[in-house]
Amino acid sequence: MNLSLSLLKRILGTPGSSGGGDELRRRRIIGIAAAVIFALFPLLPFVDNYWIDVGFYVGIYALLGLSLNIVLGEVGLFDLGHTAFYAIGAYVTAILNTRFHIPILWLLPVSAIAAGLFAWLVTAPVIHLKGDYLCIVTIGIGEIVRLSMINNPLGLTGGPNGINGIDNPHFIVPILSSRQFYYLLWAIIGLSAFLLTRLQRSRVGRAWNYIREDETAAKALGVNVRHYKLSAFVLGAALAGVAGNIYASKQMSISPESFTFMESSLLFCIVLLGGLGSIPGSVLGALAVTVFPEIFRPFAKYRLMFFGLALLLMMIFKPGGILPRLRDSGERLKKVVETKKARSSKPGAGCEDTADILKRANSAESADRSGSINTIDRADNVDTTQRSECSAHAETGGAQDKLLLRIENLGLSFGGVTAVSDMDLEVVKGRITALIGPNGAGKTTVFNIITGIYRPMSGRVLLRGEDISSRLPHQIAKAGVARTFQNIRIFPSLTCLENVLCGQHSRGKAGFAASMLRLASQRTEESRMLQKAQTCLARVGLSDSADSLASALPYGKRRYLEIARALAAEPELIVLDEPSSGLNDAETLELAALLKSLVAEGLTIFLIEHDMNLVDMVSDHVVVMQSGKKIAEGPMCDMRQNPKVIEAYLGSEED
Amino acid sequence: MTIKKTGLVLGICCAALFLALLAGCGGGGSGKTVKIALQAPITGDYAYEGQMAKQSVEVAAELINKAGGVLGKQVELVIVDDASNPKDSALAAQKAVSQKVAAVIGSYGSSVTEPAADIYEKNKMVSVGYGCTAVRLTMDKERKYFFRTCGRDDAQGLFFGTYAVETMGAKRIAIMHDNSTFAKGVADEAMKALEPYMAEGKTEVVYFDAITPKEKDFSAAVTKLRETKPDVWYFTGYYPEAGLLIRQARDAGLDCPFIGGNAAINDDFVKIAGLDVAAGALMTQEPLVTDVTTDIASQFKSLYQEKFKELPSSPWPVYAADALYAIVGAIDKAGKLDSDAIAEAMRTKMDGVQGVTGALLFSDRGDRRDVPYKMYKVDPEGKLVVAEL
Amino acid sequence: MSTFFEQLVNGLTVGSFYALVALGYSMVYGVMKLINFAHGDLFALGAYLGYSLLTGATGKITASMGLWGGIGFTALLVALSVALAGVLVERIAYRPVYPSGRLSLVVSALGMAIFIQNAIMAIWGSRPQAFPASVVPSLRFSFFGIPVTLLQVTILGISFALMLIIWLIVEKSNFGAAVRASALDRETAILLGIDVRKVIFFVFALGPGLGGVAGLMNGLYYRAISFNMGWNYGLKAFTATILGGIGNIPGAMLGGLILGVVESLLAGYVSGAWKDVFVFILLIAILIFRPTGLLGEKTAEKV
Repeated sequence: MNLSLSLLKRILGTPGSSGGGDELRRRRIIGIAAAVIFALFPLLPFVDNYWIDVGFYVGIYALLGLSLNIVLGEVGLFDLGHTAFYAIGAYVTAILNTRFHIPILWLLPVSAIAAGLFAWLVTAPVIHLKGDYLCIVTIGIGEIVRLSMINNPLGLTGGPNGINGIDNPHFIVPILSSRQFYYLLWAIIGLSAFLLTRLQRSRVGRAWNYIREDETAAKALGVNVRHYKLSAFVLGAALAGVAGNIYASKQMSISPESFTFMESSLLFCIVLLGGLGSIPGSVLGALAVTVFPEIFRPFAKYRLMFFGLALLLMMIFKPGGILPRLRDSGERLKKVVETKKARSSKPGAGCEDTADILKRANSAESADRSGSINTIDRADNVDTTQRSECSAHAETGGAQDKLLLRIENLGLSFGGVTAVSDMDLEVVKGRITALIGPNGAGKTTVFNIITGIYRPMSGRVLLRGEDISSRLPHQIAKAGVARTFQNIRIFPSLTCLENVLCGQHSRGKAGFAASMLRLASQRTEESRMLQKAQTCLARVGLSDSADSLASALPYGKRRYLEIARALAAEPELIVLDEPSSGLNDAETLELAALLKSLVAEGLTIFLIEHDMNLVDMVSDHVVVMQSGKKIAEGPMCDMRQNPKVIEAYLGSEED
Repeated sequence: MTIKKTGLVLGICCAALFLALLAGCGGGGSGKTVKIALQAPITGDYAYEGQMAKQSVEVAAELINKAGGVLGKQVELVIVDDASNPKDSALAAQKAVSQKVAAVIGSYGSSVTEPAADIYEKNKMVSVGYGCTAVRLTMDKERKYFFRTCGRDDAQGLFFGTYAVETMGAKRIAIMHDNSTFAKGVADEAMKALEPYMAEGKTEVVYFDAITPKEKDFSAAVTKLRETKPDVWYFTGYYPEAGLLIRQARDAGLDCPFIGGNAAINDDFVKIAGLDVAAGALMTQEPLVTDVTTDIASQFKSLYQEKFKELPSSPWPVYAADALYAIVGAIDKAGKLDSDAIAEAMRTKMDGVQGVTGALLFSDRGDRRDVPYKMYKVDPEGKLVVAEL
Repeated sequence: MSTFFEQLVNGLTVGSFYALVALGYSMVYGVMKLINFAHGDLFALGAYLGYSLLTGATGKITASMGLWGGIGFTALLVALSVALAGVLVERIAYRPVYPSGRLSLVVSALGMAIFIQNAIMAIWGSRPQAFPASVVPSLRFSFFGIPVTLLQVTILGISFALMLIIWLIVEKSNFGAAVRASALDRETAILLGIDVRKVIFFVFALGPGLGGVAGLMNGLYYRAISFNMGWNYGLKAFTATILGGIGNIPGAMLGGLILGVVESLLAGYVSGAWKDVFVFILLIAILIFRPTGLLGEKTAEKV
């Protein structure tokens, strides 16, 4: 897992920057130039219909590339059967048009819906499969669709011959010429790219990226992994269905030969050549795979050999793709959601601009270091309906002794090895509870059960008296439990700000439509999320790194980033798995101060820790585990004297 | 650094695009030659067919040019590659159209020809298919400018049906195809041809199923086939599978006569199956180039032999050559390079126009008239001869 | 009933080829976490090299060493040269791309597969080639009423022997232990002092070498070879690998054999046309219930 993490880090973008202004400007110029070239290309005097048609097929691949990019690029799901959805779109169009003479453009949404629905039906049962297993399933789906088309079920698909006599579309005027098709298609691509870019810069697009970067962290922080994976497949398939519709009406006849495994592999290459998750990259990738073989056509039988070689060389020399995705800076994200209206009508406390918040946050940070408690911001007034924030809540102070989390009789074993058994435990609100014990005692397993990563075989986990043991991780996160991980699980190729925004995911609700249309509600929500994330970053002293990639952070800072991310989830209980590991003494002291200040602000902390000094400094209550069982609990000073504990743990480790 | 590289890559792409554009703009026709395009699968799964078609057409063009060309001009060939795939086919057709050729030969597969034929039709350009045998190409849709020199699936299917029942007296017939456009087409048409006999109770079809092309082990299919105890076994797919099938069938102890469609049997079939089992295999086939003794055929054969040291191993390339003869003949008869006039001549004025395989006459729908079928047999030396009864 | 057993034998023959190819996939996957799409084409390369060796120089090899000796010697040469090709593929296409992540590796592997396949076409031509009858031992006999050929028996025997040898190497030898350790956790393996480079060299020599021999056997058995034969075997072997649990050596063998038998039974008793549709539906169904394949271990998510 770690290995693939570090690999992913390398594959995605240049580490250390989220795309400087220079690169962004250059991209813009290239983008505008490309748009102009694409718009004017069919009008140039020496461009005949052949080259316009080449441009059309580049467009088909670009649209398919964009659609696969959603699944493969944004969410990182190995999809080597994407042509299945393209085929469904084409066949739905062909069948309905030739049988019932429904106009092609009416069938455009129908094809999209049919392909999306099909994708939902076939991927819903298999979406839990990991990496290569999902890959073979998608290959299988591709082959099943192609072979079914060949076998002509119910006489619908015309067998290996396919279907001919498909109409041309009619949009004000009948669309007949190569040029008209070209513009129709590229208009659709432009619109799709526009909407997809909006999606990328929203809660939805980021949720996809979180899953790609680290599925476990994403779900523990409140992302409904299943929902977002499925939605990526559905949306990608729908877009492929659109491509199928246009392809069918341009070709006027379709046959299963157009929807082979080779075609799916080509789409895979398009996305990777362009750059994972990069929208202009997908278009450029499509250009590359269409134009390269055309150029090599004079070499006849060596043509595909060169093509294979070109793919190889590209991956060796430009593994991140031609135009890797640039991450947006905080400024940019902010600008995107801000409108004049929003600017003028900012509500009272929520209105500080970033600079203000940062300034105050920084001063707060230094105050934290000196151990004083500072309630830095009241920006959370924006949504007082929500529960606690990273900052303090005086009203929770009165309920100090209430039970927040209770574990009863917990048990879990893996293939006969008992990890946890008969475990009882209580975490009291507003206190720091520490879970200690020798390696392999089952501490992390307890955490995983609390956060829903594992389901216990026996026993219950009660949060505020409610049983959460059968809930999914994202539901538990939403219920107010956020966590960090023993082996740091940040999202390496996203910016620190985006990392922290993950915490806010469960506190928002903007969906696909709202994000694509950028509704007022979505904008308000997004700017609130941004503000919150910036506040949390500031809380741990990482404001300066907001726009740099998380992979560029030094180790110690990554721990803080994880804590900020958890804080951004506005939890009631924060669960920290060995927060001090890898930190030096000074950093550990800082951490202790931070934890104390958080508790003073009303948060409840439950942590696993090996550093006994830290435990001593911060914890109000200590639970000791050994071999999956609780062997003692009480204040730390008592634990030091407890013979059982000494024997099991302290004696051996602290010699 | 990424910026520079990106720029470089973009630059290379643009330059390449530009160069390709220039290359693509060479067309127009110099006036001294008549440009005729050959659209064929030069690459892709049926690359060998496309390459042989290219060679055949080159030979035919050389012969035509030696004999004075057409309308006093030399024939110039333009080759466009459709890679046996519908998308490339549409592009290839568009390329041929933009090169402003007089007419097009092509293409090989039916589902590949279909989108191309639509484009030629749209652009009012005569195209003559040479390997596309699906009935629907000419019967589903009225196409003014589309013709073909090869026969149709239904003619072959009918020939098989009649031969199997009337001549061989087969009571139990097995039909196998490979799910490709061509093979399934012939198999379906054979089935249709057998229906009247089945209604009369003269015969029954005991097996009708597909194998998966590009696989190698068909033992499961032939074992199943053997259990149906057929009197005759018709395989309508291609020779690589046919060769494997017959060998595996004989190994499994299935000894009934094997009849291949006209893509199933050639020299490579014999090589793959091995002479011991290939000998005696039958094939439904239009007259082979080796059996045609017209002047054109012997000239064609000797020049082809001279240039490529062998004869085309399948019948289709010869039909590509015939497509060229038909186009040239029609242009001659029409007296001009106008597509309407050429199409008109193809339908009505082709008397006396000869190709390698004989007279080239076309029906109103564009099909070749009077394509004779014969039953061929692999003789003990591995040569294909007309089966004697 | 005898037909049923006959179909079973048919299936085992197909399956043994799948299994031999799948072994290479699985070994490489275990260590590199890479789907070596070029593996199927290395298999095809083995078939073509064998073809050239056996028919080239007017059959000198078989003439001087006898039919079986000649074939054995050829197999050795093929194994060595395809092993070399495998190692070269790793050096050229995978090693430089490895740090860039698994997705780039997939593209690199696809590129390599396309390259090898088309290089074979450029060298040997696009028409299928046939092994001449003179180099193929032929003898038919009946075994409990099931017609089998000597070649079939030999192929099955050799396949199982090879699988047994590989299994022994991987499960019992030190080197096998290193391979398994690297597959389990590459970083820990490095920490434990295992030379992962050597392990990679080893799997990229052994897997393709084995695949090359399988290719030669395949050519001899079916006689016909075509430049794109690797694609189909590659896909099926990959399916078999997943079916058995990827990275799991006995799983790959089991997956291959099961896949072969299932295919035979489907083609024999259900429908040849729908065979592959059912194969994939079955695969998906199995994966729904056993998400890591038949023998793949159900690993708890490490958090």
